[in-house]
Amino acid sequence: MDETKYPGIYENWFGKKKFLFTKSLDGKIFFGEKLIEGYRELDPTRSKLGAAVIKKISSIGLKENNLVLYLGASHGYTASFVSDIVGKRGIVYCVDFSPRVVMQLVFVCEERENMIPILADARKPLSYQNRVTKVDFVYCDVAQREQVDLFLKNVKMFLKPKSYCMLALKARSIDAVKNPRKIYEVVKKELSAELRVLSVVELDPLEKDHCVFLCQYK
Amino acid sequence: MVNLKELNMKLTKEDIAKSTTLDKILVQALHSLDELDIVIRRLSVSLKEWYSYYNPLVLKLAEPELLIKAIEKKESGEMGAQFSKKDLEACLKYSLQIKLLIDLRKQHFEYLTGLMSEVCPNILKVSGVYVGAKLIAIAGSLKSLAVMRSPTVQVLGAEKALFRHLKNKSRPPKFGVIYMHPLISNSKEKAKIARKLASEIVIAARKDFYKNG
Repeated sequence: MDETKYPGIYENWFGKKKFLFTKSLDGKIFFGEKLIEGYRELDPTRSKLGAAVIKKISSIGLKENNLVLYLGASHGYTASFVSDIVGKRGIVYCVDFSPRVVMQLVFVCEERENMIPILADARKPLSYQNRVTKVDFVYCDVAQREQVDLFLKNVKMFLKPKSYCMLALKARSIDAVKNPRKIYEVVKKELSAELRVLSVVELDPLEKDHCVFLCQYK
Repeated sequence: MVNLKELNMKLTKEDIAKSTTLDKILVQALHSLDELDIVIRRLSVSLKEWYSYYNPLVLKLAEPELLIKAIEKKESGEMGAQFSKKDLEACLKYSLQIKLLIDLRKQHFEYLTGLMSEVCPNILKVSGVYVGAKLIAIAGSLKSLAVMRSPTVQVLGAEKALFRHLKNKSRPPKFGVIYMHPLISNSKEKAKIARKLASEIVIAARKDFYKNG
């Protein structure tokens, strides 16, 4: 198990293929992933964070002991790895909209001390503002047309100054026909009005028509 | 001080419990009804093939109920092979299980009707049990059916043809699930009636959803 330049993420080579790992907090598995000597395997085809790491993003902006706001947590696959990275003294607030997936998210959160489930609409941050604190990192993975808008809203409301945030953009839910590259340019302009865009990584072929933006709050 | 984690867990669990409404249960009941139909059809087809070696006349029977009745009589037909007692008994046991499933389907259909009259009595009157439940299932919930426009309701269930039309300019579909309504499938002016019926269903859905003001 070798350390990478990203804190909390490890890599290992099996034959010619590289695999990503995080150090598990409790040695439990939730989604049938591989567990090797206390390290859980992160599948980059299931997680956009993992795909960004494989595609050599400059940094993930995530450190130990961070407080994280995770929008669009779904079943909690990527969120559980984020909770591995931030460790026992960090907290991951997992926000999702659909009751069906939050049911399974609650089961994961019961096992994990540092994960907190919230059933709320990320488009309306006012509805859960009394349930979260200020955070060090915002991760947004919501397949909605207003995803950039809601990302900026949440960043303004909850992110501490000079902290990092990450947006995993699905071009197809903004416009199904347009060329994704053009959408990325428009989104980058929108983001740079409010934030400092540090790195832009396209996730093809791991995730089709997806792009990850790493930004810093001014 | 209340622990943030415990508070959030409690609130989230309460929210999830609140989010389940009767129309979601209705959708699940419809799915299980569809599954039961598929299972009954498959089992009765395999039983028919098996029993036809003994009595080839059963191949003419279309309904599973008739097939089960024929097997209970144990008559051998022309061209039929000799079946021993063991074989006949095995056939009978198999058919009894299918009979139980058919009874279960009947009870389940009654349950679905009761649920519909509770959730959406107006839709039930206009469209009947199966079409109404299917429309709610495709729309996702009663709310999303109530906010739809009537042409959308008319082609619900014909999404493939609709998007083919939007993409390749082929002819648009005239009806989706609504076609199963006896008024449409038995008449000559199908498209006209489909348009009218769809608008009536939408009015009924709005009346059901906004009945509490």
